[in-house]
Formats: sequence, C-alpha cells, structure tokens
Amino acid sequence: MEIKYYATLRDITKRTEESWPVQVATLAELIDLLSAKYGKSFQKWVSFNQGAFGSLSIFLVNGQDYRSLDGLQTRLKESDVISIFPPIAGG
Amino acid sequence: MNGWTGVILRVNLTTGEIKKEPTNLQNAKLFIGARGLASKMLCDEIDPKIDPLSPANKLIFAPGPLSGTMSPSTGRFDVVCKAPLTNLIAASSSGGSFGPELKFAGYDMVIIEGAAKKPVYLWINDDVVEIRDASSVWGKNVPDTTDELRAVTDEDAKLACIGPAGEKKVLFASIMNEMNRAAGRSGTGAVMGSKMLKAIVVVGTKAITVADPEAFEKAVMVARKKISEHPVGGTGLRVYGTDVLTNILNSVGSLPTRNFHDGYFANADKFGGETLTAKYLIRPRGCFSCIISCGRATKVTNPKYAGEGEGPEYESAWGFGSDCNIDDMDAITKANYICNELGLDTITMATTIACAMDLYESGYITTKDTGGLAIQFGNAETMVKLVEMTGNREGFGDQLAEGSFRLATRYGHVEFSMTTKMQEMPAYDPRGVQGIGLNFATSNCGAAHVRGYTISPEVLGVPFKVDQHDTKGKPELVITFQNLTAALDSTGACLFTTFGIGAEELAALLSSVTGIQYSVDDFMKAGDRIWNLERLFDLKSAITSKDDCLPERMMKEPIKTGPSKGDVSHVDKMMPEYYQLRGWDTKGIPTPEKLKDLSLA
Amino acid sequence: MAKFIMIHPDKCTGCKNCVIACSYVKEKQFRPAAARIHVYAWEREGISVPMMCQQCSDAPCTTVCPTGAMHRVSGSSLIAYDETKCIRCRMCVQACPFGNAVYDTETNAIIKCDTCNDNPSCVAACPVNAIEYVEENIATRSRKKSFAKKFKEAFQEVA
Repeated sequence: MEIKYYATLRDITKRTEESWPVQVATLAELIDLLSAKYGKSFQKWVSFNQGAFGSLSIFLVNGQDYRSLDGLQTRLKESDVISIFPPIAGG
Repeated sequence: MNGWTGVILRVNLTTGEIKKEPTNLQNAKLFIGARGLASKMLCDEIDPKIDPLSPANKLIFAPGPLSGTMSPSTGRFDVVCKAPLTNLIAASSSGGSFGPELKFAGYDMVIIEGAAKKPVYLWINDDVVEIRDASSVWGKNVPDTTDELRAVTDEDAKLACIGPAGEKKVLFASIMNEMNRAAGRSGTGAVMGSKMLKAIVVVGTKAITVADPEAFEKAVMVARKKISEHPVGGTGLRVYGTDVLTNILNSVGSLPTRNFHDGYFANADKFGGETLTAKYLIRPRGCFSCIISCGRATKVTNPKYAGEGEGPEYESAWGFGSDCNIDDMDAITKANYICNELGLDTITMATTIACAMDLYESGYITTKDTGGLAIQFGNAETMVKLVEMTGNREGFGDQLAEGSFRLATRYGHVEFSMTTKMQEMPAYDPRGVQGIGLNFATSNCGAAHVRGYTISPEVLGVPFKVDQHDTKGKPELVITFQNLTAALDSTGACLFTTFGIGAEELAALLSSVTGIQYSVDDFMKAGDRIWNLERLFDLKSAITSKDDCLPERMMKEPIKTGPSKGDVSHVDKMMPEYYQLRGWDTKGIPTPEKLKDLSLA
Repeated sequence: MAKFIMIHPDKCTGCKNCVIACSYVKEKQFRPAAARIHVYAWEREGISVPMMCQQCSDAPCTTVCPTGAMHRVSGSSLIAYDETKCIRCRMCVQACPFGNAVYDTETNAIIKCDTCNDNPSCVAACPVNAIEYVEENIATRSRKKSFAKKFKEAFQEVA
C-alpha cells in the first residue's frame, strides 16, 4: 500500500509518502498503526477516539472519500493508495 | 444609526456633483448592506440593458454594517455594477482595510455615476470629498499608484485603484486595494476605467457605533471562539493558505487540467500550499478585523521570475498551474504578481490563456495570430509573457483581454471556452463534483465558486459530508449555501467565517450591532431575497434559462484520468429540481408568489 | 516583576484587531483615530508594525510636562495621564520620540496607552500573539530563539 501525507502531516511524519508493507484489514487498523509509529502529534489529527480533529480529517482510498465507502471499516488491499489530509480548506 | 453610518456618498463624474444622502433604513433592513444593498440600489437606478462601459453604468463601493467593527473577519466590501465581461450584475468582494475606512469616513456606500473626461481620483477625508486630477498616475501600475497618491494625500490613506488593465478596459480588469487585495471577477476594473476614475483614496476618523454593546461583546466572543477553535478557520488557513486545496482536489480527481480536458494532474504538489509554505511564504497576512489570516506575503527569488507581493491563492495557482499544464511555481507566482500589479482577475486571465493554448494545440490559433508566440500547454515562459501583454492590451494580449468566450468565438470554436454566462469556471471540476457544477451553472454573476461553496460539504466534509459524485439532495444543498452566502456577503463578513460560525452567529452579530433583530430565518430570507433580486436583473439584462448550463465539454467529455475518471456533469438533471425548490417556474423565472413572499413584488 | 507590551512585527498580519479593540474598550465605539495603538503597513514587503506607548523609564513626556499630568505611577512601570491636571500644552506630544502621545480633537485630551489596568485589550485581541504582555526580563528570549531557529534550519538543510 502507498500512503500519502499532506499539510501538517508532512511536518509530523517528515515525509510526503511511504510504502506500507504491513498487511492491514481495515482503515481503522491502519490509522492505529500509523498513530503508534508517529506518536501523539500525529494521533491527534487522525484519531477518532481522542482527537477532535480526527473526525474532520479526510481519508481517501484510491481517491474516494472513506465516508462514501465503508467508513473506518473500509477494507484495504495491497494495491491501495491512501491519502490523509488534516482539516484544511480554501476558497 | 448603528453599524450602518446612515450616509451614502454619490459622486457624478460627468457633472462633478457630489451629494450625501441618507441610507434608506427599510432597504437596509431587507438587503443588509454590501452586496445586497448595493445591488438593490443598482437595480433601482439603472436600465439592465445599458452598455456596461458607458457612462450610464454605476459603480458602487459598499462595505457592510459589520465592516469596521470587531466582529471577527468581517471587514470586507463589495464592488457592484453591471459587468462588462458578462452583461450580468456583478458584486465583486474584496478584503483589506478599504471598506472599513469608508465606514470611518462616514459612508455606507460610494456610488460613482457618469464618466470624467480626463483621468481623476476621488479623495475622501471624512466630510471633505474632492474629484482631483489623476493624470500623474494614469498609466501606472497598482503599487506605484498607491504610493504616489498616498504621497499627495495621506501616507496612511486606504486606496482602491485600477492598474493599466482597467484603464485599457480589459474585460476582466480588477480593482485592487492595499496593493494585493482584489475585487477580482467580472471586470469591475474596466467599468472604473471607462469612467476615467483611477482611484478612490480615503481617510476616515469618525466612529462606528454599536446598538447593544453587551450583546455584541458576547456575540463577538462566541464567534471568535468558534472560528479559532475550528481547525480550518483557526489554524489550517493561517499555516497553509487557500492553496492547500490543490492536493486535496487533485487527490479526488477533480483538479481541472489542460483547459478542463482532464481532472487530474500528476505534478499538482509542485504548486500546492505545502510547496508555497516551504519555499515562498514570508508571513501570513490578515484583512481588517480578521482572525483567520489566510493572506500570503510571498517572494520569488529565481531571477527569471523574481518578485514579491501576496499569493498565489488556490484559484490562481490552479489556473496558471494545471489548467495551463504548468508546474513551475516560480512562473505561477510571478503570473499572480503581474495580475496584482496590472489589476487583472487571475481566474479569467489564467483560464483564458488555457483556452488559447487549447485552441493553439488544436490548430485553430496559429503563430500568425499570436505574433509569433508558440502558446502550447505547459509553456510557462510564454504564459507569464501573455499575462503582461494582456494587462497592457499588447499584441495577442489585446485578444486575450476580451476573455475566453469572445476569444474562442472569434476563432470559430466557442466550445473551447470553459464558461457559464461568459464567465470562466474556477478550480473545481464539475464532472467530479456535482453540486459545485450546479452552483457554477446558476450563479448570478456567471460561473463562480464563492457564491455557493458546496466544495465544503462535498469534498472537505464541512460542516457535514456529502458524496461529491452524487446528485441526490444537491439542489437543496446548493440553494442553502447560495442564500446563506448572499446574506453573509451583505454583512461585510468573509466567507471563511463559515469555518466556525453560521447563520445563527452572524444574525446575532448583525442584530447586536444594528439594533435590528434578525432571526436565522430573517437572515436566510434576506439571502434568498438578494439572490432573486440579482436573478431578476440578469433575466432582464442578458440571460434566459438556457444559459443555466455548463460548457458541453462538462456534459459530453468524461474526465480522462485519476479517481474521477469517467465522470460527467449531470447538471441538466438537477436543474428542474433547482428551479422548483427556488420557487421559480420551469423557465427559471421567479413566480409572482415567490417575489411577493420576498417583498420583491 | 513589571510587565510590558512586547511587539513581534514579524508575526503581525496587519489585521488591526488591536486597534479596534483599544478604541472599543476606551470609547465603546470603533474609531481607530482614538486608539492608543496604531498599526503601520508596508504592502510591498508584506510587513506591519503595531506601535504604542513604551512606558519609558526616563520618559521624555513626563520630563516636559509642566503640571505632572504625565507622570510615572509610583511603584509601577506605568506612565499615566491625569486629564484633570492637563493644560493641553501638547509638549508631551512633541517630546515623545515614538509619536505615541497624541492629541485627540474629539475628546480634547491626550491619548496614550495605559495598559488597560494591567490587562491590555490589544494583547487579548491579537489572533497571532504578535503583541504580548510579558515580564520585562524574559521578553527578548522568544525573539532571539526564533532567529536562532533559522540558523538551526539552515544548517539542517545543508547537512
């Protein structure tokens, strides 16, 4: 799987993207593993349990918003590209 | 009066007459201020059929009742006129400090009528109002004009002016203030140029009063807290600016690319907000009373495109970027600076160049037409040159200065112009995002995003998430956003306050400042009223329901690559429901019952 | 330990929330001409600077004041203005090297910052902490460190 990071997540993870070799079943599982790897400063942006921002972050699986798929229970495959955006905006 | 100053300044440049009139309280109640109230004045006073570049047009600068107060991020103003690009009613919004300064000088609105015979500027110093000779600055760019007019009036004066583009009546010339803030779209700058008005220079030392200070202080505290706690309004926009949208729109496959041939651009990251922040940003900037600070003071050090100023914003970066198939951020930023210096709308400028590139690559425009310039997609150097040429109406730039609709028509292929009602679509692919497409097709100023920014729910998930690819429920969503925005604009508030607050908080601020009680229903109804007022003008001036559509490319040519590959717009399927929910007949005309309900009959 | 209002022009966005907060707190209306703080902007360079009374230790305004209307409050760092003693000679306006004492024609008095009774409204209003109310001795550390950080980042890039 390929994971792409944007905005503040780039500063926190110190990268724009990474190949993720670990097999995960669902998006929820992936988020937990990433939070474990990158710590609290990452977790607050993606966690739904503790971080208020987690629910506002955007998770895309192959460009589709997770909320149009199966939410946090969306099943992931090895070939998937997951993009994570902390709450951002524009105009 | 509270919030409002109670005085309107009317200046006739043909006769030289300067008048002060009382603000009509009944109209102010119904249309609030800024976009709404100025549109009401314009609709009452001009024939919708006039030539926008004739002296019969009126140019109105209008802040809102919240402008100049401590209400957070509400220091904006609108420029309202009949637009030369579209022949529709234009209300072009801008930030900075110009609007509040007009309020401190004592005015809810400045109405410019007629036309001067020689270049002039308007000097407003509280009650002192003078029409002065501007021949020394005619021909000068926006920064130089600002500095020079301050030197002869007041070094801290606030100033709205046109650059060479407005003087030469480029159909999408902008009016700039604080050098870098723009009343961008639809060509208000050309109207100002047609009136030989180079600038309005203001110093104001009077006060804006509040009707209910206790209620106001509470409303301000609530609004400030909500906006600053919202991750977007409170942090995201300050850190990354609007250009942070580039990567998100691209990642959902809806970043228009190569004149809307595609919706995905592989190198989008090169001109996104992350790149801007890392390599170009000097510091964030904020408009009057703003707590969001989305403005970008930036610098380009590459000697080829060296410059400094503000921006680019998302629309500008996208336009000169993927829409032109360019990923050179130095060139993109430089193009943005040139637009600010010459006074040009970045969206129409960029998309007109993209249209020209498209026509060129298809063989309909040749180097004979362009005076030898090769204008293929991706040619960054030529893109920058074309911006400079357009602002000065030089060479091929003179043709670009008419906008993409007239350009494409001239070369016999109007279908290459990515416009609705002759105004170019901005940075969201309507094939990938259904609701924003409906908003483009129905906005009263022509294709525009801020009029009903459903990208918020459709892509960002603010305040709730809806599926961008779905058409279900979109007409109602679009209408709600359009009505809320019309009312919000009319208070003087910035759209970005909606990352945090909504109709409830805005109504509370408005009520406590003015002393007129607005419920949420009153507020939304005012928005509906303003929308229908604009619609009536447009139906009289230029359009019918057949113009409530998108370019054929959006309906027939699916997105080629990326996550929205295969998508087309279904705006035609949504339109009947849109009309019905709006209370319009099947021809898109507001019914008599609807107008009566809105007190517009 | 005395506190003073510290400005960070590099952080200032030019929003003027400080100016309108000041005017509102003093007069319950929005009149920037009445504010005790002003913000000066240079648009080409994209920088703004807030300016207010520096409550100088050896304040020229107190030295020239013939009546003691401008005076240091005993035991504090505040330079206070007693309107009842003021004869409107405007010597303080001329003496202040920063131009922070101003004669206001509306109220017929000198206006200058008084820290809002040790709780400056401008500090509370600033959305980006470009104005801070800080202890005198640690005031410059954050500025020194923010520049020091630039060196750190420069070296990190090259390394």
